Amino acid sequence: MQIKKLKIQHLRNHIDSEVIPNEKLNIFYGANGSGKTTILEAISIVSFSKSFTNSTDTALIQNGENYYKVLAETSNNFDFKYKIEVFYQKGQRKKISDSFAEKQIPKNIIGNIPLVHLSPDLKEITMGSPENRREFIDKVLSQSSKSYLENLINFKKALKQRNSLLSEFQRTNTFDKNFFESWNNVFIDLATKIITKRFEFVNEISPLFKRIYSEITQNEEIVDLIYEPNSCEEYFQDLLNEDNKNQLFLKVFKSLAGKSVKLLPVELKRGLTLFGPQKDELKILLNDALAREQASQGQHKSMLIALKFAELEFLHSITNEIPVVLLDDLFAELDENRILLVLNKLIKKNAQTFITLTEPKFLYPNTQLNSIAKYFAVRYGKLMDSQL
Amino acid sequence: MIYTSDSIEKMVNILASLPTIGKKTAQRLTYHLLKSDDDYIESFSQALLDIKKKVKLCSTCFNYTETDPCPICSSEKRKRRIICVVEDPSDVIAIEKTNEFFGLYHVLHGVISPLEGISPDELKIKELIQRIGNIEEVILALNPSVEGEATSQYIAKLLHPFGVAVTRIAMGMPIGSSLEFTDELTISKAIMSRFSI
Ligand SMILES: [Zn+2]
Repeated sequence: MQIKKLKIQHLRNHIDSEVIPNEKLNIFYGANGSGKTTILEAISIVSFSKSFTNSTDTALIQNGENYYKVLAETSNNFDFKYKIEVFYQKGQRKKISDSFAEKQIPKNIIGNIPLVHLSPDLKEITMGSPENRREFIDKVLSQSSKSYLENLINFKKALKQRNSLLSEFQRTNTFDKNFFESWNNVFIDLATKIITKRFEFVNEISPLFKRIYSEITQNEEIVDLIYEPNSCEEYFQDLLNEDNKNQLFLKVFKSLAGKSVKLLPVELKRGLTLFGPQKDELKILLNDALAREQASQGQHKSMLIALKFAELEFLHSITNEIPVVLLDDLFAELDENRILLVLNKLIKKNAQTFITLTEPKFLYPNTQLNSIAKYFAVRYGKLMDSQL
Repeated sequence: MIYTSDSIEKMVNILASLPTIGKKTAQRLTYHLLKSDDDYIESFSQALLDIKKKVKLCSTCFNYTETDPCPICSSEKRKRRIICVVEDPSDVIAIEKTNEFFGLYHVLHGVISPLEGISPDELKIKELIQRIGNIEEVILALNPSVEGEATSQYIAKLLHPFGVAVTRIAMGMPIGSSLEFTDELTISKAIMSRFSI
């Protein structure tokens, strides 16, 4: 996937910026607050319909303006030209239009521009709570599988409905079996779809993660990923060894149904859903110990990079497109060795890469790099092609 | 006040209160109406009064009608042992357009949604059960939303003891969904029919 052109209007401090990126490395440098990260945010907006920061759309609009607009023109592996525009005006619904439709909804555009994003903020994936790892899985799968994204959206609705029903039963001290079972079945059905897909995903990405980690670190350490779906504990070993997709689906479904029967009295007492994939864990192991508890800062960095490269290879194999890569302020946290390792891997992969950094000096002497990189100086929300 | 007439302002506000009509469109419509002749305005306002005065719910299928029972319920040509259950009256029109269905309808007027406080009692579900006596087949044609799905399950469970055949119309699969999705759906449906707490 190649972004050919990016236009940004009234996004944060950008008034009206246009980027014509090169096919390999694009390096945006400038002081903090110069607006370099906004360029990566703009790419996230045309890819996911929202920024990777948790800013609201209103907060993204430039001060004193009442809308922002991002436009991208891309070209894929088969030279198919794809165009997308995202327009947000204060107090209105976000308007998305692309080459397929004048009016698009987010779920139909996600995955059209496959994206891998790496920034120090994402260290929570290996260091933080399970929520961060679920979000990691969901973000990758949403890009590779429309049915997963659809199921995920529906699952979240079903969970809200089920919670609302349980809390109503608790409040009024009543129980309607048919009413409950209809929502419970919908919930378990969607939960099963989410869990089986996550199983499949972890099975595919974990060998990639292992291989890439050892390539990066060049030592004897062994990493591993283990998916632990909540509420499937009893059948867990059985599930790990199940190769048949339909059998896996049935087994997960049965464990959830069993869990539901067991937990219903407590759920009614608390008015809350107490099981399901919203509580799943993805364990990251380093030499058989929990990475979150045992790994050093340096190991965490290597694991995050390995995980993101695994994501890149996974998305590449599923979508047949090399994802666009965003590296936000990453190099501030890495030593020179790791930086060159990351860059060389990306160049080898032929991934179009967008990099932000404060000081490009240490990259200058690398002539091999400079022959394939385009530098942009960013100042006060303005871009300047920079001659080195 | 930006308008030179209270009546115009009132009209614009009323039109703008309709779904999908913004202030600009409301203004355009108001000026259009101002230019129309008296006969047109007469029939326009009569049509407005009529839909409220004359249209009521059919006491059998709960579709909108001016006669009770409605033309479909009272038609000799319809198969009387098949009922197609839909969410809204507009769904009846959509299915009638296909010219593929010749049975009767039952309009629920919504779907079950605990979040919005819509319980089965708010819908015409009891009324559906009361019709079941001489029915052989019930086709559930609710929208493929999470709420539509739960409502279908709820009705299927209620109908179970009556021994009527309960079927679903083929739902439009979302664009981009793979065979795998269909497979899963079919499998899970099969399991669910056997699963009960
Ligand atoms: Zn009728």
